[in-house]
Amino acid sequence: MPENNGPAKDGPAHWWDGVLQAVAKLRDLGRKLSEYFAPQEDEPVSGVGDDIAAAFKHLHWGRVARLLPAAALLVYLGSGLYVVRPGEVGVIRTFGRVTQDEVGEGLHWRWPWPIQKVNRVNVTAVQREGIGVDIPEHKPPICPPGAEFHVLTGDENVVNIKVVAQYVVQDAGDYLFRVKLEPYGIVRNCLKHAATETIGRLSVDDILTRRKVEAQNAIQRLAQKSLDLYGAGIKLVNINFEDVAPPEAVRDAFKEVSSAREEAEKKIHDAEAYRNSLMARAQGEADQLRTEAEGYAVRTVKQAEGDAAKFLQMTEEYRKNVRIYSEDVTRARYFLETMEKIMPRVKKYLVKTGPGQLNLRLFSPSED
Amino acid sequence: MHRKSLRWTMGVGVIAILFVVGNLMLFVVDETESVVITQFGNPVRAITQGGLNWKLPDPIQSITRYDKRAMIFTPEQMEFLTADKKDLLIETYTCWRIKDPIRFMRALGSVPSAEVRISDILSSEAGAALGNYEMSQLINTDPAEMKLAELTGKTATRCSERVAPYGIEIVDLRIKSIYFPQKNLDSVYSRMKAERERIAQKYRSEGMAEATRIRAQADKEKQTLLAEAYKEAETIKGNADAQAIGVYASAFGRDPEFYKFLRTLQTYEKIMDENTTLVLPTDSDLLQLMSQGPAAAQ
Repeated sequence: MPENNGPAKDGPAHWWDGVLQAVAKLRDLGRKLSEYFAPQEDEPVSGVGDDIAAAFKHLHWGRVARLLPAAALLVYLGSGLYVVRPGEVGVIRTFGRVTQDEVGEGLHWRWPWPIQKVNRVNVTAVQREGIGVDIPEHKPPICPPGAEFHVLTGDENVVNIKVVAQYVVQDAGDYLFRVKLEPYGIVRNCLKHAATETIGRLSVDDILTRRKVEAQNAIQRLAQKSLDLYGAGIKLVNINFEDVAPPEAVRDAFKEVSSAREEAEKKIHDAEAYRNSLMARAQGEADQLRTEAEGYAVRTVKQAEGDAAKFLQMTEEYRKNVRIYSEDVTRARYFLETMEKIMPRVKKYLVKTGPGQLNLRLFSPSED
Repeated sequence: MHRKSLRWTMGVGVIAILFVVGNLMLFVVDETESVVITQFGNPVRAITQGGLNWKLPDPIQSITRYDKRAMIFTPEQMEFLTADKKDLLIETYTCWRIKDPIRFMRALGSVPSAEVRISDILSSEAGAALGNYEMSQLINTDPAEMKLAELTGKTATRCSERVAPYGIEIVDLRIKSIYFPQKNLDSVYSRMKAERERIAQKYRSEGMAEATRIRAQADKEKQTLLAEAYKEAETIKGNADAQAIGVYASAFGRDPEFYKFLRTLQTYEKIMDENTTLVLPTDSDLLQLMSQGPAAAQ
């Protein structure tokens, strides 16, 4: 088609003539290209170029050229759409500076790059990091896998500890842009320092037994303080000692202390049991002594009273007899009664003493 | 038709030009960056806030970007001697940031060189500081003695002063681990073992002593208890005996002569049994009738 966009032959040359010339040349190029792709009637249809040309034959190149920028603009603006998933928060940087740091969940739009950039951070997921343990999801490990973490205790002993911390993102903007290190790396360093300082104040017995929970809390406090100081935007939610133990080389010596203490306690316990049973028996014996004495007392007094009463009774009877029979007679009677009891039992020898002969006759010869 | 397409292409051209100009003269400073604008190599301006800025195109003015964020530098373990000549392996970390990018650029220029410089300063200051503290001030169960935080605070301050000329700020400096060098570990373990043995021994001997004490105490208490009871029993018995004696005395005292008589007769009855042999004189009262006839009985 005849073009009459050539430079104006009449009138002064304008500065945009050169530009118009360039544009005209571009249009010529475009026309030549479309001619090239137009099917030739006297040539057989063959080749990819002919197929493509046939497919796009109905398009009007000019219109396409005009529509293309608008379409491109639409695509470009469309790329500004983004989704913030549940549990996430979006942070928008406009020309590099953070302008929004709390974009909630849902579909949003921002100016696409290079005007605005969006980063999404999961603020609800709890992440883990540990010292002395391997957290496999963190690669590369900041310290070699399986490395033990040794800490000195306040009384110059050594313990190996395994600590696991759980943390969440507290401030998305800080989390993303304030510290140049992976979050788990920051946490790890803060934990190590907190553990060193905390356990350095405790004795080895305390950290192995009584004050473990106290130590966990102290470590959490100290580590959180450091994290806040650096603006890491991280909040520790839990610190847990997975293991606290003396080093392998001295483990037996520590066990020895435990068993020694158990033995000592058992010995004391046995001694107390001995004492309890001994005292119980002794009390029993004491009571028995007392009871026996009391029994004796009662018996003795009763016997005395009985004997006394009997004597009084006999005295009464004697007095009665004396009143009736006279003292000599009564006494003689008592005497003879006793002899009657004794004499049958004993062996008797009669010895004549005194003058005269033994006279067993009942009646004397002098009587007639 | 021609004017319209003319304006169209003009529009496209203008946008293209703006684009090119923008690339050459506009630049974005990110939230995490500081940027130094240098003119023919000399730093002229530092931008520390994120945003869109402009400069003259290269090669008149160019930009150097630095990380504005806090950085955590974790050097390798270092060995130090304490004031009481104890050899310790110390691991530290330093949280630092570029505070004055222009000064930083002039003095150091890159983060690796900064780290080298920080490392040097750190090891010299930490070594000096540790040389002033004894090991018992780094770890101690007595909170008044434990001066670890003071040590790191002092070291951080000294390091801060020394790095300030480089445009660096030390945010924090901490010791993250204290340990004994490998070569000393054996003696440390021996000491720990000996201490544990001593403690175990103490438990055993204390336990034994306490147990023995309890047993001895129990024995003594038993003796005391029984002695008391015995005394009480004897007292009771004694009292009873006295009481009995009193009863006898008051009864027999009424007629002591008769008591003697009766009692003697009872004794005869008791002591003379089948095994007794009596030799009786015929002039005894009992047998007087035999020798003297009935007339003798009066």
